[in-house]
Amino acid sequence: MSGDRYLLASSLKGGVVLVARSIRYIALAWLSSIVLALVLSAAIYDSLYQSFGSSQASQSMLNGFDDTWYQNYESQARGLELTFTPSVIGPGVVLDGIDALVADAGIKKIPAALLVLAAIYVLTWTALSAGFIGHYSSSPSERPSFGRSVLNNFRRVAPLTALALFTFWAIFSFVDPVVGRRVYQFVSNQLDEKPFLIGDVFGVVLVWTPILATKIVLDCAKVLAVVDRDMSLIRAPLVAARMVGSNIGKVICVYAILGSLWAVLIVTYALVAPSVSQASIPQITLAFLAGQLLIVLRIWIRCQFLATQSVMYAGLLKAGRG
Amino acid sequence: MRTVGVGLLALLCLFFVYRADAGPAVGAGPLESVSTPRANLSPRIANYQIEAKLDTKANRVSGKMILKWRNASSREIDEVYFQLYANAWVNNESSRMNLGEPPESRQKMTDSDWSYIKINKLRLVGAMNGLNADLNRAASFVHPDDNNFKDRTLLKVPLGLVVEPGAEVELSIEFETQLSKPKPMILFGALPELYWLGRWYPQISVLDSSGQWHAHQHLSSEYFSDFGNYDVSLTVPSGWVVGATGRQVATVVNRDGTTQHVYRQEDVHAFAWTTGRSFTVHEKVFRQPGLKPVKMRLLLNPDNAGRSERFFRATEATLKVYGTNFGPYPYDQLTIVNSPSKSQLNGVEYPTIFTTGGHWLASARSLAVERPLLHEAGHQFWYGVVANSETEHAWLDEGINSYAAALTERLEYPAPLYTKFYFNRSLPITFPGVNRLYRYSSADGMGGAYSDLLLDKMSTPSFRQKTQAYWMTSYTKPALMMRTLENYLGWETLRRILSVYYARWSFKHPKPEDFFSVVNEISGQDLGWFFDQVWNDDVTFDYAVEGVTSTPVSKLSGYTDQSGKYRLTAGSAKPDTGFTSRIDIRRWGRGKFPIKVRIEFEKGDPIVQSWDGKASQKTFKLLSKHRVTKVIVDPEHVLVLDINYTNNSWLAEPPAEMAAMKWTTKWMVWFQNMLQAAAFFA
Repeated sequence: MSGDRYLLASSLKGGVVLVARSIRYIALAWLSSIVLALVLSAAIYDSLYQSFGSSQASQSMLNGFDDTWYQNYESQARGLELTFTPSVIGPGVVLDGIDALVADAGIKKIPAALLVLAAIYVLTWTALSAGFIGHYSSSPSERPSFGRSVLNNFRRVAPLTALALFTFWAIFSFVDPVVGRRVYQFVSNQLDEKPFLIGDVFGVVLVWTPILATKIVLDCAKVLAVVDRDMSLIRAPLVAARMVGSNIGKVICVYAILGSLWAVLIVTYALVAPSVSQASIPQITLAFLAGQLLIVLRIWIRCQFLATQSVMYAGLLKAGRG
Repeated sequence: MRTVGVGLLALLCLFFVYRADAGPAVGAGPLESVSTPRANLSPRIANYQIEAKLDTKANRVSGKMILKWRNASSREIDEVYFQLYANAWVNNESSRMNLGEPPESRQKMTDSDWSYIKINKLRLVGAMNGLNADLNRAASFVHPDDNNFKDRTLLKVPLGLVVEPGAEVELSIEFETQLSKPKPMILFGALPELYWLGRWYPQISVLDSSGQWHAHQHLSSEYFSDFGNYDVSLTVPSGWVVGATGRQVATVVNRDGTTQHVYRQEDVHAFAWTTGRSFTVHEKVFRQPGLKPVKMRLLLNPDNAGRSERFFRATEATLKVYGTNFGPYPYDQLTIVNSPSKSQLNGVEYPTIFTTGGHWLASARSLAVERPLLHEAGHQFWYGVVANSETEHAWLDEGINSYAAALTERLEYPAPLYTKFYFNRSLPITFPGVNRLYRYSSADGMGGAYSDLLLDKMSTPSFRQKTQAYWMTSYTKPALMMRTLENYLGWETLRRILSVYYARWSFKHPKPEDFFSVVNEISGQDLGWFFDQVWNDDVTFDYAVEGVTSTPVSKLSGYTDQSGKYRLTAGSAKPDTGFTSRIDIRRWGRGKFPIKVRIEFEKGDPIVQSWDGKASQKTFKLLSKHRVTKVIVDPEHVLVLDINYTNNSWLAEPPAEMAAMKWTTKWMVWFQNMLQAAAFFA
């Protein structure tokens, strides 16, 4: 096995082992998701409960989906209530989030309360990432506790997350509208629908290529900033860009393998997601647990990304191959 | 044997009586005949002979036309009006460009966004006075609707002579129409190698029988024109497919690489056409016992080439349901144009031709292809044949047709599944188990009803209404009104109403009063109280169960009359059995409608109480053996105009907590996934 292949394989393998040993921290990440979701879920519960009241809609919505009720609810919905649509079930569970990111209509229509919690979750994951990277990139003998790792590395990771967010904001604000306009100009003259879809996909690729590039480089920079504490945070992205550039094959492989895993998970859930038929406590619980399993697996894959990247970039830095 | 036959016949009759009561059925009874056989279906007031040539490089049509127009009023006429719709986008000073918030005039326009129609020559010709007078110089743009003297969409033409009632004038007109990108209300649209031409020629306004012109500038509403015959020659590049109003009677290939297509149609009130290089043409004949065959010609975009059957089936469903319940489609052919899905050319009706989108990936259960098609095909009846002014009373065709299209969907298709279009509306995904109710109208039921219902009244002329109000008052509310009438009067009565209205007003221009008059006549009721509220007011209807108590009858206590002597009987009397119940019903909206209240008990048969619905509150007090467990106001959901049906019911033991828990857990998982998507940025 060549050195490159060995490094790639060992990074992936090492990542799997490390993630398998950090189940409790995955549980911590999942718990943070639950806690944040519970805040707004309480408001949604209250809104639904008030709307159902003593009506027979409570029965029909328990048995399935009652569109007469929904149209009444929708016509009075305000703020957070507007997020309650029929697409909170089935494939919408996973597609709505992705659509919010990649399609024009998405993020601008999300109520403020959701955006605030999303911001808190991003902050939470910044802290968790600091912990995970510190945890995954150090040798077993020097491995600090997860909490200490968060405390030690948060100040190193947070500015890089801020830089990433700023870059994403700039791309969404300046590149996305231009690409969208150009793509629309192109596709609006097409008679068939396939060119529309191709145009949309092309537009998404154009916008998301710099976003993914930024993400890859700054993820690498986070590892470098944690592993090499002497490296300045200004220099880290530059070194990271060089390291990613000179090891682009391995980086793409890691992203392709783990990205495929993510895609399989998303598609599988979209196909088998619970629909509307649960009418008893065990059925409702089972559907909820299926959803939580999805969240745990999404977090697991994210940790897999962090672990594999940490092992790989730390290895490259140690080998002086940046 | 004969007795058996009579018996079977009686059984068959009983079956049909039962079917009629059970709900709408196709062809549930005899139709009013449209007319006794006659030479002309319509009064043929405005008759056009047009020769048009399309310049595909300049996106321009140049045309010559002879208009023979008859004064069908009782008044002498010395001027006529022409609708020049394309001038709505002539520049940023037109009235159309300055409507809306923000007005279109503030949007960035490209060269291909502008359009115009210009009359180069306008002459009075013919035998009438031996005249060949040039009328163009005396013609002037008028602005009766908003006094914007820069608007050029309505042209007044003094004739220089008096046209007696019943007399005819002949006008020769040369014009050119610059086409732009597709426009709202689907006037026309020029795309590379595809053109749609709806309102592309100067069209004379409608003069009613009293001598009143219905001539309006082009603001935000649709159109109005008179019936007549069309004889149209269209010259387009050779090899291009043409679809148009009427039947093709000739094709001539020219030496200059163009082909002349000649179309003819009698008794229509507009002529629209399309031409494109990439259409695939499919043909099928609609056949239904009792109706005459209709040749359907379908022009499909290549993406939809393999899906012709869905387009045909929906068209056939319309011809069948409308034809057997309201009245027959009177023409021999119908052209269906599959317009590009994101081109703004989707969903437009013209006589014997209409456009509809495709949605390449949409599943059959979404009805994403069928629903808009059913609506546009239905306009062949409500607009094409019964031709009210869309400019002034759009609800008459849009509302009735929205109801009728929803009826067709109800009769001919399974309930559609909720479908969400992802990724800029490119990827339709259907949600199993989530049936959507588009039963009452083509719009999204009562969505937005709370605010939009109060924006305007249905009786406000359509061209005066703002866009948001227009959708509510022209589509949703009248469709819900029709469905309420169906529930209130019964399907058979409403079917007769619509078939009489169709027969009586075919090839004419009814007004709202004409429709109301037919409703009152056929139903045998004066429904003015209903139309005053729904049409001529902005009231909302909202009945609710305000509260229910059902308590055991208490033991008798205090003094009782025992053989003329009052004695204290506390605790000594036998306990009464049963419950006293108090049911408070509330009318929250201003709208009043007679309703029924269904009351169910723990055991035994439910009872139904009636209420005229006029007071703001009504209390029912009951003494019953068993406790009241369920109350429903308007249990049959007759009043679909009720803006909040949720509060119409009461359950003694509603599973609200569990239902809220079920849906909250689903929302929670959805939200956690949204959070996980956001975590990408961390």
